[in-house]
Amino acid sequence: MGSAPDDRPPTGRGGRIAHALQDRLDHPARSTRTTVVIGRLLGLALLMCFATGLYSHYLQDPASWMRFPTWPSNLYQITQGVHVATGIASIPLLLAKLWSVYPRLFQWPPLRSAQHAVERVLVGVLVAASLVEVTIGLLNTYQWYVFPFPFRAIHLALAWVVVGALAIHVAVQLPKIVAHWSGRSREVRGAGVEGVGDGPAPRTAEASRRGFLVGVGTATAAVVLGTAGQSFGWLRRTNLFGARTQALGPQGLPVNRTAAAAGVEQSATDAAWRLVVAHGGRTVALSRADLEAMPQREVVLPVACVEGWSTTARWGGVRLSDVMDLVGAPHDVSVRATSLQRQGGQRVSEMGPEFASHPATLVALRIGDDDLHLEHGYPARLIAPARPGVEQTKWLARLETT
Amino acid sequence: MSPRWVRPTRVALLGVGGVALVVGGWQLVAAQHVVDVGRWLVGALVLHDGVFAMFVVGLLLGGSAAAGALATRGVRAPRGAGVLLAAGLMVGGALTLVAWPEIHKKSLGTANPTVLPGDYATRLLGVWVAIVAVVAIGTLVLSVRARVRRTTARRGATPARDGAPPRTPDDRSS
Repeated sequence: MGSAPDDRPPTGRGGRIAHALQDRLDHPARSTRTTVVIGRLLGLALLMCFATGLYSHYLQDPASWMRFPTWPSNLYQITQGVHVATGIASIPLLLAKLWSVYPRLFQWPPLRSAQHAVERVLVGVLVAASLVEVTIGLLNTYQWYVFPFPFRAIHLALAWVVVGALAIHVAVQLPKIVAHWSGRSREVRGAGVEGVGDGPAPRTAEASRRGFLVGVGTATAAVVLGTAGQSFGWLRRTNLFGARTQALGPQGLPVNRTAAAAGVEQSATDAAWRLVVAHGGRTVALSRADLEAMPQREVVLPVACVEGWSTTARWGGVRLSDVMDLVGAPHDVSVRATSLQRQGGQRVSEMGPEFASHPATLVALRIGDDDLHLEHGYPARLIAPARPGVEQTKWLARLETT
Repeated sequence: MSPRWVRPTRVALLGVGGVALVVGGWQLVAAQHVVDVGRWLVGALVLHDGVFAMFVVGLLLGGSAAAGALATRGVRAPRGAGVLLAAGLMVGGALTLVAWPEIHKKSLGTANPTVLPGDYATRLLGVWVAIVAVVAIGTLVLSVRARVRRTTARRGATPARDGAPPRTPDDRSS
């Protein structure tokens, strides 16, 4: 991918234009080695992003047989924080990778054979899908839904497309990757086809390449450090550009859906509110006073949003398993929680038995020493370890076994 | 000569990649927004390859032209200054790319005050000011050190008047 074009000598005007373009774009920092170094960093970031993203997806959309780890209690905080951080890190890495191979866009002839055409189309798919994927991911953290399609479905679909096109890309380029994996690729330079540029003196090219990599590394570190403080408390001091500030909000917690937006201001503050608990034919209706009369527990758990931000709080309330015991529910069934919200995807959530019977899963009534704020789910909300915020259902109306 | 594991790995990767592509493509079609997504995919390619990449090319060509013009006037930047400037622009550019949609969305209004609570425009400006300062001071430091190195090297080439051994640059390290 270096400055030496590896195509046939230019024939015809198209070829001459293409080669003139590639010469103009020549830069000592461009080489196959640079591309491999950045490529493996980008590949690592994308793979981590994909794995944590899949985990997040299945937590929210599990198949009935799936069971998830409940420990560590901040597991989702970590995985989703990593998801957004690696996604954001992919932005400068992707742009640097594309810069390092940009002259290849003008290779001549553009389509040598059917196989070559397929390869080029797949590279186009990889580039386009990666660019769109990291962009809509970033925009989602800002809640700026400027794209004309549903975020979750398309973000997942494009993730598969990126991973698939990436695997094929690595397959096609594997010999080159192996040859340039370590910095000693003398044998490739001898072939004279691609590799270290022939133009400038090797020492200048080497310095230029190293300088480029230092620049890319610093830029990547900057965007990660500048945003990851929304997920990880130890980075909060550098959190200049995160979409949220940790611990900023009522009772020290940021808010996603407000009570007004959910349309629960009346129903949640109604004195006649009852939490309906059901199992089989048995039903019990509990008022807030009834809940407060039951044995109270305290847990320290984070609210970790799918958008990547999270904050930890001290929650007080009744163990969910104690509440479900009131209707004789066994400890090996799933529980469905319904909110006072009239519509929206978050009004119903389900948790498997590993969460429902967990001692740290509460019907929470308090944050710290204060009653739960209306914005955080007053009169009662679910809080459980290792679960995304969207499933810590607020303004609980009904709990039932499934 | 590629190692023996390369060929089976390539085949495996092609298989896995093909399956993943089919999964993703099928999910895209099932989501029923193929045209919209397709438009965004094409738009991304055009925006990057056509606009953004050309902008970077322009920056690089402009930068080397400016350096050349300065050199003809006898102003030569110290070694490392180009890297420092490029790194500064990369850091600033990356943060600008990430922060710009945030700034715009904040101006459009958010669902509640805990979403996008910061003054990102001011912070971005502050970051650029800091980058300019670091690049400027760094270039100054580099040019001072280069001048010191040149002067000491020149003095070392001619014997000292009082017969003392020539000073090495390390003696004058600050």
